[in-house]
Amino acid sequence: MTNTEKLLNALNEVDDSYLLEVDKRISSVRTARRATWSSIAAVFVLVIGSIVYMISNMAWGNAGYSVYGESAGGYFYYQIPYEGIYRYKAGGDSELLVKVKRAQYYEFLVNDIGLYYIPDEKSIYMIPHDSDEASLFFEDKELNFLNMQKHSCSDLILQLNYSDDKIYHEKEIIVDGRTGEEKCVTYEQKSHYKSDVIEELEKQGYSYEEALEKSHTTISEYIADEIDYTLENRNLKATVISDKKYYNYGTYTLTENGKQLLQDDETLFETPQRIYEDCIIFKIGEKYKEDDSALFDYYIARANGEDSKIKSTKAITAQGNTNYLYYIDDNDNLMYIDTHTSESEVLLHETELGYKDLFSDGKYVYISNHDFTERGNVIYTIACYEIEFDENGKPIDLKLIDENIIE
Amino acid sequence: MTDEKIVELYFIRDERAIEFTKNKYENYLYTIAYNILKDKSDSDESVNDTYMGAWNSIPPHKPNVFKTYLSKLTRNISMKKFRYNTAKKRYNSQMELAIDELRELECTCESVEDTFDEKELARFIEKFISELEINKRVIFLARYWYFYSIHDIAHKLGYTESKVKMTLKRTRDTLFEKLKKEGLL
Repeated sequence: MTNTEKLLNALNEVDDSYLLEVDKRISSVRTARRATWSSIAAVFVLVIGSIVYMISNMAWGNAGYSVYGESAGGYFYYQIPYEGIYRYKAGGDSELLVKVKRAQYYEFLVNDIGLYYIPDEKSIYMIPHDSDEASLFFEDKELNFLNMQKHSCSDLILQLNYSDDKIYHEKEIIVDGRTGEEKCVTYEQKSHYKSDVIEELEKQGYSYEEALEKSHTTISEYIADEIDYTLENRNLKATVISDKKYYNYGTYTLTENGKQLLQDDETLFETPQRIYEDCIIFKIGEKYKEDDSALFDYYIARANGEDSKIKSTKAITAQGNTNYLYYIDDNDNLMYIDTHTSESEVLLHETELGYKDLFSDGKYVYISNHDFTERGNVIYTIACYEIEFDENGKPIDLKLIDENIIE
Repeated sequence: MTDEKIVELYFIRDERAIEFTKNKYENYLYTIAYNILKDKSDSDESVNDTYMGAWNSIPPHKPNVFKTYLSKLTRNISMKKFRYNTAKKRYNSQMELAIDELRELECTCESVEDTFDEKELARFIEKFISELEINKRVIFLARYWYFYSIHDIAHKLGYTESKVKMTLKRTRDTLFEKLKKEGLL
C-alpha cells in the first residue's frame, strides 16, 4: 500500500463530528445553488448524479434530492435523470427538448443564446432558445473528456482534457458562444507523464530524477495574462497577479482603460459569478485571505458606469437581476440582497427549504423539491413563482404560477 | 425513523433495519461510493455491502453517529474495491485524482514501502484535522474523505473553484510540511 493510500485510510478514522461538519456545511449551501456554473461532464454525473440520482421507476428504489435547472432567455431548463432536458416557460407547459440516451444525465448550461449540452465526452450541441433544432457546436475527437461553463452572456469556457492512462494534458479556452470559435487559452497544463508512471519510466532506463522531471510534479503551466470583458461600451480587463509558478489557477486585478477598479488588497476570483446584459457580477475577495469574510464579496460592473460592491454573509447562489440577487439564509428564509446597498431582506419566511434548490432569473423563482411515494420511490417537483415588485421595483412577494412544472 | 430506532432494530435483529437504512441513507452512501468507483454497478454493490457490514457489526458495535458509521463502512468497502479494480484497469474516479494530488507523499520518500506507521499516522491526521481552520477542514475532508471533485466542492460549498484549489493546495503543503517536521515523511 502506498503512503497516499495509507493517508487516505488514516483519514477514515477522523472524528465523526468533522464529517457531520462537512454535511452540515453542504446542507446549508445546497439550499441555493450557484447558477453560473453548469457542471462538468464527469463531475456532472457525480454532482447531479449524487443529488438526483434516483428516480421513481428504478426497480432498486431510491432516495433522492432535487432536480438541477437554469434560467435564461425567458425559459427555465431542467433535467430529469434518464429522461432528458426540459424547457419551460412560466405559465406554459414543459417540453422535452433533449432526450438522454445511454446516460443518466447530459451536462448542460444555458446563456442568452440558448442551451448547450454534452451528449458524450467529445462534443457540444446547441439549441437556440426559440428553436427545437440542435446543431453541433464544438467537437474534438481527441478529447478524453470535456467540461464547459458560462463566461459571458454569449461566450463559454471549455475545459479540454486530453489525458490518457499515462499522459496528462488539459487546457481551458474561451470560445464564442455563437460560432464555437476559439478566442483565447486561459489555462493549460501541457502534456506530461502522470506521477504514477515514474516507476515505469525508471524501468525504461530513466533515472529517478529524470522520471520525476517528466512527471506531473514539475510540469509548467500556462495561465492567461489578460482576459477581456465587454459590457456595452465598456471594456474591462482582468490581469493576472497570482504566482504562476506556484498556483495552477489565476487570480486577477480588474481594470478599465488602465484604471484599477478594485482596491489594492482585493482580487478577482476567476471568471465572473454571473453576467447579464447590463451588468457583470464578479466575485472578489481579499488577496490570499481565506476566512469567510473574503468569500462572499461581489463587484458589480454596470453598463451605465454606476458600479457597486456588495458584502454578504452567505453565498449568493441563485440568479437575480441587476438590482436584486436571491439566496436562502440559515433559517431557510428566501432572501434578496440589494446590489446597490448590500442590504438583505426576507422575501419569504420559513419556507422550510432545507434540501430544496432555488433558481431565479430575477422575474421568476423556481424551487425544486422531492417527495416520496408510499413505496419509497422519489417524485420530483419544481414550483414556479413570479416575483412581485412594488412601485420602486423592490421585491415584495411571490405569486404561485405553477405548483409543479414537471408533468 | 430516527437513527436510534434503526440501530435498535439492528440490535433486536429485525431485518427491517436494513430497509430503513436503505430508505434513509442509500443516496448519501451511493454518492460516497460513486465518487470513489465511478461505476454504477460497483457503487450499488458497495452500498449493499455496507448494509451487510452494518448488519454484521451491529451488535456488538453501537455507533455513536449512525450516519458517519455507515459512511465510513462505505468508504472502506469502496476503497478496497477501487484497489481491486485498478489492478485490472484505470478509472477516472475522484479517488484516483485525489491520489494524484497527494503524489508528493510518494515522490519525496526514499523508500515508499512502510514509510508511514499507520497508527502513528492516524493520530497525526486526527490532530492535523482538528487544528485546521473550519473552512479548510471542510474543504479538505470534502476532497480527501468524500472524494468530491473540485467542481463539486465549489458547487456544494458556494466557493469558486480557484478558492477550493487554493485552499487544498495550501492545506496539502501544510500537511506535507508537518509530516516532514514530525519525521513521518
